[in-house]
Amino acid sequence: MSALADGGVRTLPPARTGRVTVLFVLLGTALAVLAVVSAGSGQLHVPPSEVLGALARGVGLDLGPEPTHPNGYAALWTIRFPRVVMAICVGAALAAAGAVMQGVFGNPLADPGVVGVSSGAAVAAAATIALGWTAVGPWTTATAAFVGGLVATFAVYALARSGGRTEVVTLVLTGVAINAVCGAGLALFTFLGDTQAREEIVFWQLGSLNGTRWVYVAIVAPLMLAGLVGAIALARRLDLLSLGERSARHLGVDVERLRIVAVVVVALLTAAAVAFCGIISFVGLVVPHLIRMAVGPGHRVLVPASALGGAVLLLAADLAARTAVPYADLPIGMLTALVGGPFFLWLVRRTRRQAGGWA
Amino acid sequence: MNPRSPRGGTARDEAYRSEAPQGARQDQHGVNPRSPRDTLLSVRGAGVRIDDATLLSGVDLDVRTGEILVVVGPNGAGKSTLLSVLAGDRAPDDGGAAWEGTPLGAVRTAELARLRGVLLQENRVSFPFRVVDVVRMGRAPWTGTDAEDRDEEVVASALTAADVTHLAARRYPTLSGGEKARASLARVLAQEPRLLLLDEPTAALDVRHQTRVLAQARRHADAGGAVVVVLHDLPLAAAWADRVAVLDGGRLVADGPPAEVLTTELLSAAYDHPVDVLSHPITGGLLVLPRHGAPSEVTTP
Repeated sequence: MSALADGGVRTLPPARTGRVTVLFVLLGTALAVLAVVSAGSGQLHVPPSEVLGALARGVGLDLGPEPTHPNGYAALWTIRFPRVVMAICVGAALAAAGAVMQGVFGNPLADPGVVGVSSGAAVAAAATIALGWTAVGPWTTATAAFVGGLVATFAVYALARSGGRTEVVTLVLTGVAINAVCGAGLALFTFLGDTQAREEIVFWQLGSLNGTRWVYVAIVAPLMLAGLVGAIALARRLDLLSLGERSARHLGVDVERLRIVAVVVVALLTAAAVAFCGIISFVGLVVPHLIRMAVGPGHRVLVPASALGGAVLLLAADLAARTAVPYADLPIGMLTALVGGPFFLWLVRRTRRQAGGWA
Repeated sequence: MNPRSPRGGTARDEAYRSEAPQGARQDQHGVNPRSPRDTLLSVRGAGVRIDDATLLSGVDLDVRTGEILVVVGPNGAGKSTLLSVLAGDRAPDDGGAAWEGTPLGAVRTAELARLRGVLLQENRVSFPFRVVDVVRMGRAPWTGTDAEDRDEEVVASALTAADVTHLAARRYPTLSGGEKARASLARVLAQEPRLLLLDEPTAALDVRHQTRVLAQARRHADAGGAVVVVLHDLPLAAAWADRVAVLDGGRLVADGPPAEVLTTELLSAAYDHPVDVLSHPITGGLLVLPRHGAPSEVTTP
């Protein structure tokens, strides 16, 4: 049943341009190079060739030169490699979460923090630190952060729903209220804790990859991968959602279900990132933005490319955090916000001029 | 109305111009072997209330293949509400709507997307997608079916039909109002639904594109589809409708061929404004003319 005139198939602009391939190649290369450089940098310097040699030996291949420093191999495998992998996982998770969140809100300025994951996680983590809970041993804080993030996200979502629908503005404003309450809780626990607990809470909020161990990576990586697979599965429907809820429904999208699944995916990704490393802001906001400027807004490219870009960004930020000041490990959250904030402002002004507004 | 839009006069345009709407309609009034009139969608006793306000009340309406059903009525008459009931967006509080006998509520969202396409009055896209990508989104309901193979072909035809092929690579937010309306129409056409529901598709368009849109609706109906169009423009309604439904205060006050429904008395009463219905001196078709001028100079006949 086609009432369309036969116009003859013209050559349409392709769905996927060559720029996409270039972008993936560039990001992939940057990730590999940064990972090797980052693993070799720090107080104990290891040249890239020896890093690769140690990596090969670790997986049972006798290739390349061994680290010349007596502690080189051990340092790489127990301290540097887990930290590098963690940076990749956390960066990918945060950026992918940002891309999905912006798609669900239909607003390129939305951020996982808006929904309350970060503050919910922070308040739960602070509670365990201040009250000295140790139900799950040394992982109590991380577990609490994860659970707190999920609870906060669902609380916002449940409160913002009315008559089976969720309006974006209501959702955002509810997020603001939840964030305010969580902020108050955080202040309370900071007040209640002793000096050591206070210090711990403050540093957790600043965000850091310091002290990452393989066991942490083993928890975060599967969560990140599961979230990423979920996010990519939602991509096409997120494209349709950008037409508006009604038009998306007219094209066969179950909008309510899409929203719920997307919120779960975002909570999973962000909470996984926040659980061990604290609050690292702006990655979820800036990376999808940059990717969108490079290759357009289609989510099937945006989500995986953002994940890759987020991994590159966080790896670079962590390298800077470790090496910018000798013998100091700067809080990475501070670094990303310091660089990300002004950059984002510039981005907003530039994009607004070029694309003719957000709506 | 849109000086930025480059327009190329092509042979295709000639074809559209030669399609005089009156002639097309008269063809329809004869026996048209291509399109037997089957009822696709029927609404019975539909009523919609929000709080104390009654938006729609006791509406019975059939949507049939092979015809353009035009819905007219003053502001707040319930036209868009009726359209949302027909689209399955809103389950009426009273009565119901059924697609070939199946209640609309029981048809799955994905299945419904292959049956009816909806062009809303306002069309916004949250991100700067290219026009061609927006139109490709119209193919989403056919993903995983055999029809998927024709995607690019259908998208190209839809772009041509809505006269936006030259805009294919432009970012949607950079288009003018009329261009956005046409790009969105192209998306709905690419969806290839059996029923087209168009809410004021001509509001932002110049005369040439108004005619093109309604000619496209005509084509869809002639090919065995069904079309429901909400129009504010009464002369257009008279020119293109096979059947006109007049809504007033949420009630269906008339439903029938334009010649029977579009009368001076009925329209003047529905719009609470004098409207003259004359016979066109050249084509003999209906000519609906709202009287213009200061309120003191126009009197209800």
